[in-house]
Amino acid sequence: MQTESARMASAREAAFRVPYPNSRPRSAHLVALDRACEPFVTHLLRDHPGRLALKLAALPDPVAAATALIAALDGTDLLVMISTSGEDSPAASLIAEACHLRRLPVTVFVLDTPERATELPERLRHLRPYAQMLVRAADPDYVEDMLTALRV
Amino acid sequence: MLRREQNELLTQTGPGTVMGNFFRAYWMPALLASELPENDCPPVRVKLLGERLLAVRDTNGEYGLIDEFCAHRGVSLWFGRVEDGGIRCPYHGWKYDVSGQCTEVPSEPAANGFCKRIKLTGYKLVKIGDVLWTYMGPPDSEPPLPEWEFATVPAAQSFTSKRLQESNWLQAMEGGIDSSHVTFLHGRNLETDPLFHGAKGNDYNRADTAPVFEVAESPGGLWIGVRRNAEEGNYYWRITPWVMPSFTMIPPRADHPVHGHFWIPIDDETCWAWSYDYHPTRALTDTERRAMEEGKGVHVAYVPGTFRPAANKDNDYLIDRAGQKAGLTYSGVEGIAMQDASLQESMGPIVDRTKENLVGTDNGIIMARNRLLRAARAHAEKGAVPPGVDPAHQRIRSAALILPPDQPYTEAAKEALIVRPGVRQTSV
Ligand code: FES
Ligand SMILES: [Fe+2]
Repeated sequence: MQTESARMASAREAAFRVPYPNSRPRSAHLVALDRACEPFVTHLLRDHPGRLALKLAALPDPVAAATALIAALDGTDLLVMISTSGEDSPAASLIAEACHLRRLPVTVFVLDTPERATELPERLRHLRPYAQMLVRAADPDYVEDMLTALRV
Repeated sequence: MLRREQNELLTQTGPGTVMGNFFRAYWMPALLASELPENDCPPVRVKLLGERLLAVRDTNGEYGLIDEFCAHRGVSLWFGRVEDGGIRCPYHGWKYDVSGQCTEVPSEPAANGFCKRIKLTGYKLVKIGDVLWTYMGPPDSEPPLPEWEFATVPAAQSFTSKRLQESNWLQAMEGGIDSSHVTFLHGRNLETDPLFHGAKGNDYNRADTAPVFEVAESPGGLWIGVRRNAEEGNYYWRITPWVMPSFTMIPPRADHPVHGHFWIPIDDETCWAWSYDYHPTRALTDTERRAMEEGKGVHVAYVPGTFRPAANKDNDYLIDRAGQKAGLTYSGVEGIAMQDASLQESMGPIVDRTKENLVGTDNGIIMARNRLLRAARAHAEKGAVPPGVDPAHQRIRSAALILPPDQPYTEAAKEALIVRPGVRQTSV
């Protein structure tokens, strides 16, 4: 017996999947939460017009900058907060709150080096409530892989 | 999405491929011990990582996994006679021991030692628990034997099954670490399946349909934590370990046995979905064992005499459209294992990951791919021992528990996530 399922799931039929781009390019806002991750965020922006960044620690008035970012969130598909220390800031909570109201998913990426393995988990409690997805990884390249995987 | 070459690297496991060599660094489940039930029993054909092999149990109870085909003129040794400490080809009588060494070529005078020059490829086959494990890598890099808890508890506490999955291994495994599909695809089964129902944790699952994910690296792979709201501002956490290359363990529910999977490539378009179910501290009850044998929980009912599920792509997985409409199941396919397998097989033999559109909740999958690519390259380029080879990476557990909101699960659940002999699983 050969049903539709059997035929349609064959290698032969897999070659006939409709070839078209089934999504439009996405855009993401990257928010660097501390100074240590700023060079790395700069690196992520290179050659990627769909990625915008905000470096909170570098700014004289982070709260004002966060407010401006919130105003520009329309059309953003993803917000990624990047942190090395796991520390909180009032600006970060403002942004997270705004994303929550707009149902814009927030991914928090924390660089998880073995040296800081003890104090980091404790600090993450500030960031945890913001994130729909929180990722702890030792390799900063992971963020690039994640953004590529998400097509931004 | 993955680039085409990344997708090919991760999905191809034949001899000489990067991922194929990576899998060959591990002890893998090859067949159920019950498939070779006694000394001198009929041999079993086994295809693994694109190699056609034959599993043999000889007169002395020694096991071996050898090239399926006779070195003389290529006859399948599956037709062979297992006798007197070896297997004899029925065509011209050449005989091999379980290591693949030829021990007799009847047409040649024994004195000339011709048979010593004939050796079939042979891999070790070792019985641990209900499973015969093989190591297909270079002999000088053979790792310590596996120590997964399900295989090392007393036999009365454990049950293992396998089923044929007609898709590449990676899309099957990705389904196992994708916790976000459970609410949809398996939602109803939490209430109806005898191996799941009645857990307090099921209520949290149902009540909070917007789970939050937290993924962290572990020495052997990943911890994938999913939290939902519980009482008084606390969180209900379900923590799934993934250990490279393809082991997962589903978080427990109440005192039900704990289960999980291995996905082992047969070739690039099919794999074995291994499913184990065990209790760390007590024997399985007769009711539980019967339910497992009947294909409940993560197990399946088979086409008699095979490991192919009774519901398969040739019968449209026995989809019940009326049941789908009435909400008896979400997809219309019955049973947790076949709900997963039907959808994973429908993606095609090897899904084209250049076309997918991932979202934030797919981070577990993104990270698993990233770690596999890195580890497989380090293994290929620098000979690095892959994560998961060390038995310490295998002595882990899944867990389900309630934690205060400010506690990170990797630390707060540290004890719960390792094997503690004599201590039951941490479950809600
Ligand atoms: S909704 Fe996930 S594959 Fe279609
Ligand atoms: Fe599933």
